[in-house]
This record gives sequence, structure tokens and C-alpha cells, in this order.
Amino acid sequence: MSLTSFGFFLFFAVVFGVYWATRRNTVRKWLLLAASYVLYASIDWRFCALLLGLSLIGLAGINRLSKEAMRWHRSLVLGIGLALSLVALVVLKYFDFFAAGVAGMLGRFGLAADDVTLGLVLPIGLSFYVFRVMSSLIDSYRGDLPAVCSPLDYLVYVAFFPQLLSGPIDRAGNLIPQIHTSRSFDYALATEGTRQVLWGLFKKLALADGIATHVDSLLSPDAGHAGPVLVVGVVLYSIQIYCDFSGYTDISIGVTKLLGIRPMRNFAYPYFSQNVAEFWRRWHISMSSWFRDYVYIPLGGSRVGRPRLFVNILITFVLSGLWHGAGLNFLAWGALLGLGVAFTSLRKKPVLGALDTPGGERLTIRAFAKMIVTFAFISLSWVFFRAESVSEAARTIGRIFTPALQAAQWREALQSIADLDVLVVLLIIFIFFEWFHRRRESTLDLRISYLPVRWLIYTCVLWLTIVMFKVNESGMFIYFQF
Amino acid sequence: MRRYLALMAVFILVQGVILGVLIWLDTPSDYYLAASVDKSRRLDEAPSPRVVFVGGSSLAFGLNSGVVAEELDGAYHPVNMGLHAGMGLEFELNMARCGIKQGDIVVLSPEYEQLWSDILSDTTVVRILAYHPGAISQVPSWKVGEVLFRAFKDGPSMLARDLAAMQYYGVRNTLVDWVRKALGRGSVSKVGEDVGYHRSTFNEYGDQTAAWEVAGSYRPTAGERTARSLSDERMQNALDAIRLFIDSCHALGVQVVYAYPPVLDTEYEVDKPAIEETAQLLEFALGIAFLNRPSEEVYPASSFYDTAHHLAGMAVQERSQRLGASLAQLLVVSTSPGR
Repeated sequence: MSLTSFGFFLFFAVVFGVYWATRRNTVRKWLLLAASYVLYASIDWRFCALLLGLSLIGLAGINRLSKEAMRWHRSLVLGIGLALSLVALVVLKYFDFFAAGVAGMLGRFGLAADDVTLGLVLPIGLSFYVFRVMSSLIDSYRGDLPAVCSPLDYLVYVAFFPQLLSGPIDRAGNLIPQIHTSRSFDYALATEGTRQVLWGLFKKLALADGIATHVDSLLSPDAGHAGPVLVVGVVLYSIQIYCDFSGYTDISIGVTKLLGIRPMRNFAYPYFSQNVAEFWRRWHISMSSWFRDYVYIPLGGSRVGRPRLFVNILITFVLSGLWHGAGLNFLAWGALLGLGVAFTSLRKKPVLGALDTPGGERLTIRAFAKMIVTFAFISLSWVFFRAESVSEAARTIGRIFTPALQAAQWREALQSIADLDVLVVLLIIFIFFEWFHRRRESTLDLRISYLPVRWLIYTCVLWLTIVMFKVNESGMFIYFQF
Repeated sequence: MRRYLALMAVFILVQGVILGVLIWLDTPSDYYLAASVDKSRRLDEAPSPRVVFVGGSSLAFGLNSGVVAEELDGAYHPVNMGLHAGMGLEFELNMARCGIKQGDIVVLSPEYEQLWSDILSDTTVVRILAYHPGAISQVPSWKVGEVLFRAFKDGPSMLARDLAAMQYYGVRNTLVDWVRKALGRGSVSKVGEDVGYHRSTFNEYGDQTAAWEVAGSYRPTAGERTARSLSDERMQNALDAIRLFIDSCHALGVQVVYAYPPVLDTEYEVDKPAIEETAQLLEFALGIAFLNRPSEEVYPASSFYDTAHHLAGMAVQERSQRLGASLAQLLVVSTSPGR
């Protein structure tokens, strides 16, 4: 059950109604827990056992940590908890990748090795809830979590259904106190959440899904397009992945707010960043901050010399690349971004504080040029992310940088933009809308006091979403097979 | 909470009003399949005697009824019932059976696919019923249950998609027209740039005229195709349905003839054994006159509009002339006007 499906909205309507109909917080917690497991079971009931098992490991770990005083005991408990969590992730997500890698390496040395793979199904959301368990264990070890954690609160935190499938990877220190505390309906938070759901649906269904079919044809390895067309494809893919992921996250965050809980922010207009390091403070914030807090800082962070800083950054980004997928292309993607962040950080120490206004308070030519260069670098890195292999990505980038000397190649690129049709207009409006609202946490947070004007804008966004969603649905020309 | 729910209710109500206005503006009725209403009305109201063409969209696109009427010296008023092969053979025959009258001539011209397999598409039928609910009585009885289930399950979503597509392409084509006019170019063609085609591009006889003025632009898919073969059971069912139709026509004093549909030359090369076998079975089993041979309805890709079934441009006119001439030869046509 996807967050964009009609079934989910019916499901959530029921949960929302029952949730706010009851005043007892314990009942609400049990409702959230049941809803989370029902949602997960609707995908595959076997995954529920894994989710419950990992939740219990985390719960046992933090409760043990709250009782242990001796440091080596606490380290042992932490180590066991993290190891058990990682075992699930490594076996289910990475075993086949490493086994194939080992077999390949042995083969290079002339040693025959059976291609042993487990062929296991990767449970949806595994990477997200394993990291929630791990972060809660580490926070508990550091003393950042309350000494006593209610089992029900913790189970709800790990399985929390709006965030279960695709994040954000919210922290126990943020969610558990809110789950624990009884809340009354917050009108401002609910309207904020509703707007965020609407904007998320627009980005996902109208823009991302609309762009997707164009990207597939432009970046198809078999199509053999020239550089200019590939540039169009890469730029569109950058927009697609942003709208897809941030749109889905907006829906998740909006639904969470409708339940009276304020989750952590996950995207802060990343494509308006002026360097790669800033991009990584604005893109998938819950994940990038997770790697910062639990990998980069324990390695020494920026409190080390430049050579060690460089290594710390590369390790962090290679691991984050692997988190996204078990493949050399993800490793290469992470390494490339790590190089970009390292280059930025070696010139200027990383800033870990609150985010400034993206693009600056006033747009200057210098700031604009930095944004374009940063966007270009990030877009090229997405080539590795999207490709099936490193060699495919390298070929694509090679063709991008091959000079296009024929006019026909440039005409084809212009035609590929024209083929987007109404989407071009929507994308331009979308970019300007995000730019002019970049100071706000949510793009649809309109500071317009006149209600009919606000509703007119919401209505336009809603109808554009519905129309584009229906138009993008497959089968439009399948209808005429005869 | 009450304030939130009240505002949400009002907002949803406003959207409902907007949706109602859009539906009331009747935009979806320009949808291609809504032409089923017009065809049935034409069949009811056209003055006798009529020549009624029964088939799928190859007939809708591939016939200029005006040319046929000229070949018949105006002795018969044409009615083109061709719409969409996804209706299935039996549904098409039932629709025609409801409206034919004594003295009519029926020209059967279904696609080969309708004889080789049961291609009645629930989706197509549900869409037709959305605009032409009265046609439910003509849906084959063994399909009514499935169709109703599909209507309940997917009907609102399908209608929403059609409505959305009409809005999208309506606005889009208007904007593109403005730009093109500003650049001194002609208006954009509606057909082929939207989902399906338009009801408004059917003429008074029921011919789909959208491709008459354009050159064929069909590009067959590359690669080898395996030859299609007959399903004995389906062929027998199709023959039974056609024979039943012919018997009911004869009982009404209606003559029935058969015309083979157009086929792409490369597909004819591959499917020739199946086509020729089909022709033999039809000519043996039906006992009616045939206006043409399958080999006379083979056309190159440049004669087709967007699929291997929809003729375009001059091919339509030439085919219609040949069919009209064949029909005229078969019939004794009175020269007195108004017959």
C-alpha cells in the first residue's frame, strides 16, 4: 500500500478518525502500532516478524543500557544490539552483492568459486527501520534518551507507519517524547500537514511520474542519444528524483502532522545549494544527519587534520552510497559525492548549524553561478545512481562530454524538451514557486491572509495533480490497439 | 478539530462543485466511444432503405460513406456502425440487429482479430456504456456480469481519466494553437495528439474523418512477428454468431453481404495462411455474397494512419469507391430518387 494510493487514504481516514475520537493516549498508541503492522502486513506479512524482532532487539538494548553503569558492559550491550541489527541488513540487502564480488575477485586470480547467492527478498523499508533501531541504541548509550522507555512507545517509534516504508529516519529523541505525551488536536499543525500532503502529491504524481517516462526514453542505454539529449535527460532525472523522493516524504510528514506529531524535516530546497557540502545538509536530511552523527563525528569529524578529514568524509559517503543500494554504482556515486564534499570542506570547514536561506537572502550572479555548478555536479552524480552499472554510467558521461558538432543533435535535444509538452510549463512554475517560498519549511505555506485566494491556489494545485496523474496513467494509447 | 473538519468539508464540497461543472459542460461526451450514441440514433432515424456497415474501427476510419452513396446513386442511405473492435463481434452484431429495418442491406466487415479470438474488452464496453447506457441490452449475455463488475470497480477511475485527458488536451491544444498562430503556422491537429479520438470528428454517416486529410504515418514495429492462427472454437463461435445474425436479418427482409477488412502488407505476408483459411470458412459457411477478396485489401504502411487497421488519406477514398462499385453491381439499384 503506497502512500499515494487511494487505499492508503481510505486507511488513513479511518485511523485519523479513530485516533482523534479517543482521548486516551494509550489507546492511540495501540492504534498506531496496529495500523503500522497492518500496513506492513499488507505488503508482506512475513516482514512483520522481522520488524517486531528488530524492535524487540532495540527495546531490550536501550532498557539494558539504562541499567548498566559499567562502561565496558554498556559497550558490550551496544555492540551486540548494533551487530544484531546490522546482521539483518547485511544478510538481506548485501549478501548477494558481496558474494558476487568475492566470486569475481577469486575468478580474477584463477580460483573457481561457486556463485553463491541467497536470492532473498529485500523487505521494504528495512534500511530505514534498522537505522532507527541503531540510532536509538547509540543515543541511549550516549545518554541522549530518557532512562526508562515504555515498550509501547518504542515499538510505535520503530514501526511508525507514515515513516515505515520510506523514512524520514526520525530520531527516538524527537518522536518518542511526542508519542509518549498525550496531545490535543492542533489546528495549525493539521492544516500545515494537509498542505504538505497536497504539495507532496503534486510533486510525486504530477511532476515526478510525468517526467519518468521521458527520462526512461532519453537515458535508455540502447537509444544511443548524443550529449545534448543526454544532458536534458540527466537534468530531468535530477528533477524527477527530487520530486519523487521529497514528494513522498512530504506526504509522510504531512500525515504525521495530522496525527499531532511534528517529525524532523527531510528536504530543504537542496538544488538551491551553492556547494556540495550544503547540498548534503539539505538533501534527505534524516539520512545525511544520521551518517554525520553516527559515522562521521565518531571518526573524528572535522576536528582532525586535513588528510584524516578527507578520509573521514570519503568513508562516510561511501557507506551512505552503499546504504542506498547494493551495487558498485552506488559505491561510486557515494565516492563521487564524498569527493565533492571533501573538496568543499578542505576549502572551508563544514558548518553544522542551522541552515541559511538557500541561495542567499538576495540572489547574486555569483550565488547563481555556484548553484548552477553545484546542480550540474549533483546531476552528473545521479548518472551513477540511476545506472545499472559503473560502466554504463561511465559510457553515459563519456557521451555527455563528447562534443556535439551536428545541428541535428541539438535539434533533437530541443525536441526532447518540446515533447514534455505542458510539463515544461509546470516545471518552470514549480521551480519559481519553490524559489520564492524557499524561506519556508513547506512550499505551500502561503502567507496570504485572504482565504479565497489561498483556496484558489490549493484548488489549482489539486486539480493539476489529478489531471496530470490521470493523464500519466498507463493505458492512454493502449486503448487504441485496433 | 471541528473547525478543521468543517473547513475540509467545505473545501471538498467546492471541489465537488467544480467537478460537477466540468461534467455538466459535457466535455467528456466528445470522447470517441461516446459516438456510439450517434451511431445508434443514425440507425434509428436514417431514412430507408439503408446500407448499414458493421465492424470495428477499421470500418470507422476506412470508409467514406458519401462515396459509397454516390456509387449507389443515392438509392441507399449509408450508416457506418464501425467504432471499436474491442466491443467484440457479438456486441457489434447485437447493436446493428436492434436498428435494422426491412429493405436494408447490411455489410459485415469485422477485423480478423474479432474472428480469431474473443477480444471483447470490458474496459471498452464500460466506457461505451458510460455514455450510452441503453446499449447494456446489446451486450452479450455471458459478458454482462463481467462488464457490470468492471463498471463498478473501475468505471469512476476510467471516467476520471477520460475527463482529465479531455481537460489536459483541450487546454494544451488551445495553448499550442495560440503559439502556432503567433508563429504563423497552422493549428495543431487534434487527432493523434490526445487519448483516443473525438466524437466530433465523426460525420453524419458515422465515418471517422480525422485521417482523411492526412498522409499515412504508421510505422510498423521492427522485428519479426510470428504468424497468427485460428482458434477452432472461437472461429466456430464467430461463425455461429454471424449465421444467427444473417438468419434474423433474412427474417426481417434484410440482405447481408460481407467485405474483408484492410490489412497491412507485411502482416498479410505473415498471416496469409490464417487469412485465407478464414476466407474459405466464411465463404463456405455463410452462404452470402462477398464484395471483395482478402488480397484486394492489402495496403502499404503509408496508407495507414496510426495503427495497422486505420486507413488514411486517399486509401480511404479508393477503398470506399471499390466497395461501393461492388455493392452496386450486386444490387439492382432503382434510378428513381428517394428509394
